[in-house]
Amino acid sequence: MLVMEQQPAYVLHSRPWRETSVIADLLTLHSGRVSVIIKGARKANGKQPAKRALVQPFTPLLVAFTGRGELRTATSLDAAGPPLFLQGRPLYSGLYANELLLKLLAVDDAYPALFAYYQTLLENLCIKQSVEQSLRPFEVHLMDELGYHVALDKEFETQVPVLPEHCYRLVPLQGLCRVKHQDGNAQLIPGHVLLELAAGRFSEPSCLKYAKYIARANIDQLLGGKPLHSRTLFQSMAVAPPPSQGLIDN
Amino acid sequence: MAFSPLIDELIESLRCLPGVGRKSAQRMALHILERNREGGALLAQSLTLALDKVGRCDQCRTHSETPVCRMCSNPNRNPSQLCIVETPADVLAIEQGAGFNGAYFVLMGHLSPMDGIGPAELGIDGLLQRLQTQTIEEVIIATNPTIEGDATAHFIHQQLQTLPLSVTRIAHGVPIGGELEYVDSGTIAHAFAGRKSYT
Repeated sequence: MLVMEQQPAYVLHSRPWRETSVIADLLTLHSGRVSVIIKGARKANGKQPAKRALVQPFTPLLVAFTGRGELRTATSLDAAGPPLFLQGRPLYSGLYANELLLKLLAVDDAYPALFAYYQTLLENLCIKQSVEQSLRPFEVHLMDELGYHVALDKEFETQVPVLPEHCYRLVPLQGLCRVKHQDGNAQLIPGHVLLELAAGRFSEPSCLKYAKYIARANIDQLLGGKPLHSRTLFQSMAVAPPPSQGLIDN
Repeated sequence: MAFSPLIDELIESLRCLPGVGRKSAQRMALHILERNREGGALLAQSLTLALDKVGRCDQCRTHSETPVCRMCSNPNRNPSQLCIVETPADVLAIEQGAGFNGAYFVLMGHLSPMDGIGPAELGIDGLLQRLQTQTIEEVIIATNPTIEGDATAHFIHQQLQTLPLSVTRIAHGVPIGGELEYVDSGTIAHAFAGRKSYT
């Protein structure tokens, strides 16, 4: 029996299991993504702070678990801090990040740096920094951590540096090629935008648009056609009717 | 020990119930066969009938064997208030405690991107249609205070923004008889954020 010590973790997703327990997918600092059974997590028990309040996404936790197989059993569960309250678009962005991690991370591979990036993302979303500006760097870090670093400052075949006055085309998960002649429907990315993004500057709206395109192309390639449900949800939010004047609402 | 094929099948079928494993299923099957055959026949009959007849209420989507459920067709209820809940069990809980006399809309779940449950599965279109055709003044969103419940509430709120009605969300806070010492920090934070002045 392998017993782990308590380590920081976040719940990515949980589903009910039996009468009072849940199976939770966690992102942990030292064990990466793991699935654990948390017994009694749906029980209302008088004096103990309810476990069910802890087994929610975006709540910093300290978790210890035991077992060897794919499904572990949690042996202790404590709050490591107050939950981060995400509402509205930031909440959906958090769910999107969770779905990405759930679908892309292999079980039991530790990504300590990614854990820190995830924490930063949640904090940024919590202080209502622009959703796009919070998500884009996180996506870049996620790709890097997964071993798919896409260099934005040079062409991937020739290693020739990207020049601001040229236009480039993205080959998902590989890198960039310079485009000399416009060939129909390929999305072109200006060199100066690429250099901004390569330097980690995501503040310009025009850069954000391209950053989104690059991140999406890479992630879609990595997912191999599996749909991202939270993205669909986000899009259905976007087509929701805009708020009208004089509405009675609180 | 192996039972005869029919008994085995019965045991396997009983295991579809929540919390019933092989051992409990076996005990139930043998109990029905040895001691309570009438009860078993009644169970089989009502199960078939219920599965055959019970569908969804056209208005609130809860389980009902009539096109419009008893709650929705009750003339004594106030149709200008609509309470949105996740499950039929939530309707029961509110009926027992809240003194609420309006209509309900049951989502039969919550938005959960990871499980592939989106607005279509929750019948949000039907809800919007109902709001546009009936005179409803207030919509009370009573989804659970979980991340998914909040995401659902926010989504519904977004969808209702253009409609001339008031949208409210039930309060979150400390349970009655609870001691602050034993309440989790998230609930306390919510309780403080939603504090009320004595007016």
